[in-house]
Amino acid sequence: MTLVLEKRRGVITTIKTFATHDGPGIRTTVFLKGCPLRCVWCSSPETWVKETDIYFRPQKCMECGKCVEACAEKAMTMVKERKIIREKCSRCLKCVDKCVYRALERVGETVSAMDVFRRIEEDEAFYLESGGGATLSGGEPLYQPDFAEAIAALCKEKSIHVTLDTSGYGETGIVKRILRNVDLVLLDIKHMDSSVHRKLTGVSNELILRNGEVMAENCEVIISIPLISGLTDSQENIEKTVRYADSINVSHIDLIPLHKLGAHKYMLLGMKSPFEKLQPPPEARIREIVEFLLSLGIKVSLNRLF
Amino acid sequence: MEELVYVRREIKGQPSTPRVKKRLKELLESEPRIDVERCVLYTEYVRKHWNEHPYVRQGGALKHVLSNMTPVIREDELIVGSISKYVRGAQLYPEQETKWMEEALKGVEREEERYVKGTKADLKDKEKTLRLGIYKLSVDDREVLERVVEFWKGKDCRSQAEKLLFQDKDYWIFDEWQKQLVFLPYMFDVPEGRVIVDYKKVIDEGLESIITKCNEKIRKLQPIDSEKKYEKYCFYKGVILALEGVLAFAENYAREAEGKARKIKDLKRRKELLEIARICRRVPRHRSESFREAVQSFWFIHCCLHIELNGRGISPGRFDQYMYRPFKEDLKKGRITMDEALELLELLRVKHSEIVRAHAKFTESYLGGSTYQNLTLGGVDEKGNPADNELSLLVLQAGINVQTPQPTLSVRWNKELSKKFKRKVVECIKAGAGYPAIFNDELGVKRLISFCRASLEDARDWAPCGCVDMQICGKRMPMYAIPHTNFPKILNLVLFNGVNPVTGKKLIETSIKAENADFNQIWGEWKELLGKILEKEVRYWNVIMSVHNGIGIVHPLCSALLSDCIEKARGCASGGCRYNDSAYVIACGGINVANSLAAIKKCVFEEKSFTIKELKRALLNDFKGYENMRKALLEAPKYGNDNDYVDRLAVEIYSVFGDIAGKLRNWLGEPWRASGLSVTSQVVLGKATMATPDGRRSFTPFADGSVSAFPGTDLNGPTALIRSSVKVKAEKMQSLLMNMKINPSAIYGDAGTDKLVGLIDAFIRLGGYHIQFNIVDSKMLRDAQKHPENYQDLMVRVAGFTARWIELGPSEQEEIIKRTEYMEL
Ligand code: SF4
Ligand code: SF4
Repeated sequence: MTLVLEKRRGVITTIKTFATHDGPGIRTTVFLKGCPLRCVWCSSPETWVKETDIYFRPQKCMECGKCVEACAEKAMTMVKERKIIREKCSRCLKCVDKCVYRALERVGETVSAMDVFRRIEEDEAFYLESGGGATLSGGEPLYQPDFAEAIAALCKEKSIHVTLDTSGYGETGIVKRILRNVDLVLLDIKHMDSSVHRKLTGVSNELILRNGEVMAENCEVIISIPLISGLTDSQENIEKTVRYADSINVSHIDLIPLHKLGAHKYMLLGMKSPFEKLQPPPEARIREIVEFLLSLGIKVSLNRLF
Repeated sequence: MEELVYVRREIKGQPSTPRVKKRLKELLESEPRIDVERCVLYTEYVRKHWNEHPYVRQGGALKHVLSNMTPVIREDELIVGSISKYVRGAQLYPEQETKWMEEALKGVEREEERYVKGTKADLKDKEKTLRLGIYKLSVDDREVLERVVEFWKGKDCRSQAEKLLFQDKDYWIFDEWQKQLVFLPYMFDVPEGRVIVDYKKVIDEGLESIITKCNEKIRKLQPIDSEKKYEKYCFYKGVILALEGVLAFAENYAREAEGKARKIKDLKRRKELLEIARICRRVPRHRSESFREAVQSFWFIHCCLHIELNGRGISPGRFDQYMYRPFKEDLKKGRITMDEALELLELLRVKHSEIVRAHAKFTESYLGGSTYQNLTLGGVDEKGNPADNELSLLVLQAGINVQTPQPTLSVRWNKELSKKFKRKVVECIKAGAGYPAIFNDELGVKRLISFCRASLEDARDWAPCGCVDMQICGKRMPMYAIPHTNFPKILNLVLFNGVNPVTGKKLIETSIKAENADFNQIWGEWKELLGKILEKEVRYWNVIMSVHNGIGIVHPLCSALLSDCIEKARGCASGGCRYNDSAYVIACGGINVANSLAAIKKCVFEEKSFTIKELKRALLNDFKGYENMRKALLEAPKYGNDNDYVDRLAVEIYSVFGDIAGKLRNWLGEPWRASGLSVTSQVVLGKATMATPDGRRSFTPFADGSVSAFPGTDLNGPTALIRSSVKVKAEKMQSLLMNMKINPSAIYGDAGTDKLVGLIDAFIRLGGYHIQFNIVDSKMLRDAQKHPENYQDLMVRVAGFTARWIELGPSEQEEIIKRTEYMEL
């Protein structure tokens, strides 16, 4: 049984307005929380789990101890090192309320599809003038299918353009259901070799590739390739991706060279940043790939700015 | 060490010819300095002609100055004419105020100067060079200047006005308000400017036609058998003398060019110099028959106005309109190439930036070195059709290629402008010079019709003037402003029952006791005090203007070029212009007051988390020991997030402000106007103000502009900020101002260009008045702080003006960095 659209609830991290990199025009991007993949280069670790997270900013902490007092689980510690022992934490958020120095911040909130839609609708004037709309991103929007479907459907009712930014990893039935209200899919193809894909993301890619077909049959698709030096940027992988794109009639490929702007998020979550070991391909290689794609008559864009 | 990876400014322009490059280099390398030539010549004339009618004396003095100033033609120049023999020389205007010069020469500190620490005017001068205001003065000039000051002491406009003001028993408390920065002290040293004269008339008709017209008027006056007629006669005489002065100024340049041509060996340059001489003999006397002539004609007028008026904000206005006729004709006849026209426009940018003004250190601290020469593009023609043309595009290209601070560019934006033009505007914005600023074209037209009662045709010829204020080209009185009123300080006066918590002095009577008041009483009292303060501000300024006009400071040149001064035979500040409602008061910190009121309402009256008494204690302690309270205050709704709880307060603040001003009458019986520009007053006024209930700390800057958010409080991105800002009705105001910083990565490439076009279109569609963008990222700015030497050319836009980054004080730099970054992570 699914609820009426408006009332369906889900968890989001943020809503980004004036998004210019998530589809055509000026957009509002909704980041849904929770994702079944664990890409080693992920720049948004705060979207991995559906549950609420807590950011801790040590440089703002004045060591007043209020959070330690507030914590019933003894998950807050200042002994030796100031940190949250995340395994013990029940996410009750009492500590966040107590911190006057804003060293602690809650990440993730449960909202209704209607709440989200209202936020999207506010910027209608900007979509109208720029040819923009709403983008569902994450995390993985397919991870909260009913919620994602509801937001998309509410947008469609008001003729707001909807883009789905997805890894393609979800039940095909769900994908089909959501696509009814989607205008454009930004599909990430992380790697064409299934075993490598599993190594890099934690899951295999068969389902993704199958879903890609379904998506391309139902709406406009742009394929994105994350470019990480030595991991995804081999000529073989690029060529295979192109062939796949061609097989499902996708003629626009977007390249996203690795960026490390998410490093601080790992720190805020008390995690180790993966970026020390990762590099984007050298500029020359990126140019090479761009030229290769162009020579095949493929439309190319960088960092999803189109 | 992590490498700085900042996004480079995408569109890099550079001077299109070696000539421009050379001129730009000379400009960037020269330091501003004081030039005493004008004030010596002016004084010399007035001394000898003390018995002339003031109008005649004024015109004669200008003629004497313009005829005798040293003409300088710099290496490779094509457009000639300078306000000073130095590359960046500032002239002095002792007839307005000598007090600041006297103070500067004697090293006297003004009481309010203690608030300028950390601003541009706060000089840590190790060399102990002799300075006047903030600029260098040579030892020889010092002696000359001392004699000039001695002559004017007691005779200048300020002293004469103060003789009257000091007789008013209420004035002493008002003076305290000035000193304690309830508002910024009157700018006696730079009272006027902010005008757009009728350049079109000069270019299409020439000055001789105006002289002929004045002579006709004089003929018709005969016999001059009444005092009234004599006054009119003197007005025309003064105008004629002033215009003859301009012609003499041009003639001197013609001679100088010929002299140089005789001496020079380089044949090419000799030809150029002879051409300069030919042009200087033709214009501005006659109608300009070529683009080059029109540029020179325009420049002579613009330059001479800067010698006549001690103003900042003397603005070119709609350059792409009045210059289009000769440009088009030249193009059609193949007399000029696009490249040649571009070079002239680039050279003209350098010329505009040569102009510097000198004022009291304190004035300097918030005017920030800009001369506010605002050049406007786009808009509609007199029939209402979109007016952008090829010349508009070229002016933008020149702005990309030569990123000098002046002239600052503005665009009257409407839906119908061509896509090509809109894209070029955005490309220019993206080039990172901080201009053009965008203005809502339709809104400007509508407001001028409904508020100034301008005809449709006149209203369609509007342009932002100075910083952001709406002006009608060639027909409206130069704008006179009472500098910024400190809105947050007024709130503190309410809370502390009339006492300024910074000094402990009682400044005003209040009708409530804040501790026992409810929210509406506090809010009401704020409006009450604002009304009282504004009433005094304008009352005394009206006195000053009466003296100003009465002693004959009429500006004959400026008046000759503003309709209908010649018809009415009246000076431009005495009611000669067609529209005269251009005196205004200015808001500062309005957004902090809105945020503060919202926080009080929420925390004190709704949630009852603490009392007004406790709040006051926290404010006095700058929240030290009251961190919990500050957290609650900071978490209360903040303007800039499209939250009606607080936005409604902001709307009402400006609405009340506009209404109060509109009910007051200026010296001509016209309504005062309210304005929302900020230059950098938010820094200085912030420095003089205790912590505020919005959580802002003591002595830190307020929000800039009038509808920009307070740094760090607009958490929902630029579109929400825009939605908040457009709620404030611009119609009641002379101007509103919003700054928005955008990271280049968000609008990269052609696709990004179109997105910014879309953002602007939406802003206009929603009814916003003004928006300008800072396309820089904070890493780059940090780097610029560390290595200023690498950032000579870096431009920043702070609240209505562009300045060189390296010229800003540390706290302004800090503030710019803090402004919400709309950087896409
Ligand atoms: S409450 Fe905040 S400031 Fe105090 S110890 Fe905890 S994290 Fe640090
Ligand atoms: S969220 Fe609750 S359990 Fe977790 S650290 Fe904070 S107070 Fe402790």
